[in-house]
Amino acid sequence: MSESRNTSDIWVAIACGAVLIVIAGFLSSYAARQSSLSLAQKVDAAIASPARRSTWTTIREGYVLGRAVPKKGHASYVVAARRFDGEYRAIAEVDADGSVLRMVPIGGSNGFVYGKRLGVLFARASKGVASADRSPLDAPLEPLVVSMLETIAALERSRTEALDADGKK
Amino acid sequence: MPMERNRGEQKGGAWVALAGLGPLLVFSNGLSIGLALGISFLVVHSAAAASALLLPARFGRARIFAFAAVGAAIAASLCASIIRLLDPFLFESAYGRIFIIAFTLPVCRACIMPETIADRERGVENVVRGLAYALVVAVTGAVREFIASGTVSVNYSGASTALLPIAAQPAGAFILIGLCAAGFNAVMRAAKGSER
Repeated sequence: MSESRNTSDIWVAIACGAVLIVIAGFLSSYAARQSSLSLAQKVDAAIASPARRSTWTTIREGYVLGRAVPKKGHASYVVAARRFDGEYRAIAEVDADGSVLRMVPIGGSNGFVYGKRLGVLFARASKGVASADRSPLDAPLEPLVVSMLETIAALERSRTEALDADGKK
Repeated sequence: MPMERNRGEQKGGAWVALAGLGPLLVFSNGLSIGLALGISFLVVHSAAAASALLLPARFGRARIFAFAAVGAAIAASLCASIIRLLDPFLFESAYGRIFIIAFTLPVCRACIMPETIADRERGVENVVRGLAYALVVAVTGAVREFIASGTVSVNYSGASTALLPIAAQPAGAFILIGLCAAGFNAVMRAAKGSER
C-alpha cells in the first residue's frame, strides 16, 4: 500500500518537473523572440534608420552575435569582442560581398582596457586604410579584428549565395 | 569541546562554500553581471533547498537529490530567460555563466535532503545562506568594477575609464578573495585576542 503510494508520489513529482520544463521552454522561446525584436530595433536605431524594420537572426559564431537584415539596404552584423575582463560591442554594416562599409560602436564593459583601442582598430578596418597610429596593444588585438572581419565576410557571402540560389529556383 | 568542534566545522564549511563560489566570483567582474549572477544564484539555491526540504523523505536521498538538481537547473533556465527579456546583451555575455550556478558546491549542498527534524526546522537558514552568497557575488562584481575603472554603473556605456584594470581579470578576483580572506582572518584573530 505504502509502496504504491510512494510510486504514485514519485510520478506526481516527475509530472510537476515535466510541467516546469515545458514552462521554462515556452519562456525561453518567448524571451528569444522578444530579444530578437529588441536587438533588431537597437541595430536600426544605431544605424540611424528606424524605418529599416530589420529582421534579426542570432548567429553566435566567433565574435559575431547576430545579423539584422532590412527589407531594403545593407545587412548589419552585431559583434562583441569579448575577453576575460570585458567586451566591446559594435555594429558592422556590410555590402553584398561581405566587406565592412562602416562600424558603429554600441558600448562595452566599464573599465575594459582594450575598448578604446578596439574602437580605433574597428574604425580603421572599416575604412580599409593603413595608419601610422600604432600601439603596443595592437599585436594582441589585430588577430581578433581580422578574425571578426573574416567571419562576417564568410557569413554574408553564404547568405547572399543562398538568396541567389533561392532566386534562381 | 564538542561545541568548539562544531564551530570549527561551521567555519571550515563556510570556507569550502566560498571556494565553491570561486567560479562565480571570477566571472563576476562588473556590477551588472554581478547582479545577474547574484540574483540567479539566490533563485537557483532557493529552488534547490526548497525542493530538498519539501519533497517527502520516503523518496530517499538519491531521488531527492536528483529532483532538487533538476529543479535548480530549471530555475537557472528561468533566470536566464528573464535576463534575456530584460537585457539581451547581458544575456549574451552571461548565459554560459548562469548555467554553471546549478553545478556550484553550495547549490549541490542545498540539494541534499536534511537528515534530522532539527535540520529540517533550520531550513530557513539555507535561504539566508543563499542570500549571503548572492550578496557576496554581487558585491564582488561591484568592487572589481570600481577598482578596475574607478566608477560603477549598471548599464554598459561607450565611455570606458581605467584605474587598475587587473581587477577585472580573473587574477584580480583571486587577489581580491585572498585579501578579503586575510583581512577576515586578521579581524577574527584580533577579536579573539580582545576576548582574552
